[in-house]
Amino acid sequence: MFPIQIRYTDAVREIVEMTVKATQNLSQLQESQVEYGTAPKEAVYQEDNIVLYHYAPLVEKPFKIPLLIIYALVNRPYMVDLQENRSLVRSLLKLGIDIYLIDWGYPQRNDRWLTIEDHVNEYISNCVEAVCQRHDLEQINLLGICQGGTLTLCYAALYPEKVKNLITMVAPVDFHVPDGLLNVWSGYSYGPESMNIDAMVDAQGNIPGDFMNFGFLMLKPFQLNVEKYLGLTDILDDEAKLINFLRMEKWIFDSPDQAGETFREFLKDFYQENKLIKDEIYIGEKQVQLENITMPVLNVYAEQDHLVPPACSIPLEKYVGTEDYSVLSFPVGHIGMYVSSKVQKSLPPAIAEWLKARG
Amino acid sequence: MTEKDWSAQTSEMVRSWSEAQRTMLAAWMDMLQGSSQKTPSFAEMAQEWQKLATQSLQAWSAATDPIIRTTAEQFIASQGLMLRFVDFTAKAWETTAPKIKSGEDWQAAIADTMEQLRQSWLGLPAQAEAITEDMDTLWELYLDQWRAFGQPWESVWNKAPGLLGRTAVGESAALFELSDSFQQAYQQTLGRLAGSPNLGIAREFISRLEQGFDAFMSLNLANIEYQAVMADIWDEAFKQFGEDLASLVEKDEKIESVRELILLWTRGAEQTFLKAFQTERYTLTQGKLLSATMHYRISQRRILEEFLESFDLPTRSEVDEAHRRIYELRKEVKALKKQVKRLETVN
Repeated sequence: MFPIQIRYTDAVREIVEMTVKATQNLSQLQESQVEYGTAPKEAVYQEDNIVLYHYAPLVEKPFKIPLLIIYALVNRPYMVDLQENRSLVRSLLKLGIDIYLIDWGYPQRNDRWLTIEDHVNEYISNCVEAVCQRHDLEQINLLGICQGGTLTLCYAALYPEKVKNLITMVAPVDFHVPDGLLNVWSGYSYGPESMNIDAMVDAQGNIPGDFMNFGFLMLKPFQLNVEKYLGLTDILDDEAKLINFLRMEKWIFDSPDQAGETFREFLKDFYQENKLIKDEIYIGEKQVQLENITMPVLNVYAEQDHLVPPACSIPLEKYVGTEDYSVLSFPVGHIGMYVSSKVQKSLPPAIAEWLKARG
Repeated sequence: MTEKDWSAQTSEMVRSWSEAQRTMLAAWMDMLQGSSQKTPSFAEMAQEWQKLATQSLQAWSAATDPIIRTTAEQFIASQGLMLRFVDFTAKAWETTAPKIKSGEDWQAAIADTMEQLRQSWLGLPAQAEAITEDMDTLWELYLDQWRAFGQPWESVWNKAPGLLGRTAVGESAALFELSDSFQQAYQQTLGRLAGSPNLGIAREFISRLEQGFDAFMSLNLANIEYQAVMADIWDEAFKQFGEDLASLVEKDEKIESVRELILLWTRGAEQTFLKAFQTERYTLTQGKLLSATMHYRISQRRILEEFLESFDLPTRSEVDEAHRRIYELRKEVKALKKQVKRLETVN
């Protein structure tokens, strides 16, 4: 028997009904309903494009050492506060952690010349200093996420005296792993022949956010471009789920351009030449040596991460100089780390407990 | 227009569009049930539907917020893909049904159909390859891009030495003729009055064009190579789909909805594509296309900057250089401010 048993009329009816339903339901929504990053916060420091935010505490007496969250440059940081019931920030606030976050903003053409040194030695460094001054402290806690985690490792290696405790989340350290398609395409095996970074930056200046999006979507071409929208039909009658879906869509496609020289350095030095674990990264004139990371480290990774495979994050233990190293993993993907309800139940308490034990 | 007006307009549009969809379905079903008119093919229906959806979306755009509209566009695009896919399976059914009835091997029939469809969808590499055999055609193709822009200037620059020579011996009319030629060329291209060009620029410009042509050639060749690799991957994906269908038969399972059909296809295709994406062949071919695209873009910019410089207009390179100097100055100022603050603290 031929396995496809679909009548033409049923097929057309199925598609038309789905489309009509989608249009009717989507047309009822307004942009204002797709809120994100709603935890109250105030800007406490600004420099060029970047803004340092302080979130309003949810407890009377927050934990004495604040936590500064440093997100990746490739996406917007409100993923950590996407919606009220899926917010790492809110969960940590409720557990008494005092939270700051660096918003990198949207690089413009005049930011094309910004380097990794600017991000580490200036922006991160100045934000840490601003937080220290506000709390009259010499050191604070840092949480670096994804590429932000890699930059945070560089900062902590250069200025260990400023970091009380360090948390890295889905952060790549060893970029030469065959597990990740992103690593393969960026030049893990074949170097510049697989991705001519110099030509990309020389031609475009800043790397457009749309270009980055296209690359990320191609890592799972059918799942992210077809199946995801098929799944939309299951939630069309549930306004709350539909808004959640639209919220994720907003974040996924709200990609900033990448400052040209930062992109050049990150892709060539970290992805293609894997210099970080070889102690060959220089920020300004200072050598980044991961063994200088002697403060307590908590490394969190996602077991099904296709963007930063576990093999990229797990090796951190081999390279840092701390004697207090902990690792935590969850059976989720890269984004699931922030939005999975199961992770949201266990990750924030784990972080809070770990920080407070090392207060 | 008030929010209520927009909302009312949107609701009316949605109602009309939904009604149009239902009418189309009803009309099509009437036709299937024995109307004297020619039954439209599934592909024709899919095209009509896609057109209707796109028109409605454009009418909707004024009142719709960006993220919702983008999501709707994505959804409609995926629906269009689904209709194309149903068309594909309808064709497969047309081919296999008689063979099943007559007891022939339906799997072989499916394989044939897939090959035909693959060739019709992916015929591009073969067509494109034919073009590259003729360098003259390629050069024409490339020049066509610049001809519309550059031709008026080419003729002016060719005339310029002669006209200036006549001016030098007192023939003032020649100068006016030169000026008129420039005006006309400018009006035809950038549309503004320009100053006198440098002599010899034509030679440099041709050199840039030649470099641009090299980049254009490389891009075309890289694109053809990439399309060929993609065609092989699609081929594997179609084969995988056939195997997945065969596996359903073995398990005595059926596909009874478009959604199940699409999922069967996408899951197999995803695995096939991801496996291929990891290979050296794909990675290097993609890298080559990316590099060629970027170099082409760089060469295009150099040619365009040649024109812009002629008319005292700032170029991308100049603006980038200005930004770089501002960036360096800003760094210096920041460093100096930090130093001053440190000294103030010490004192």
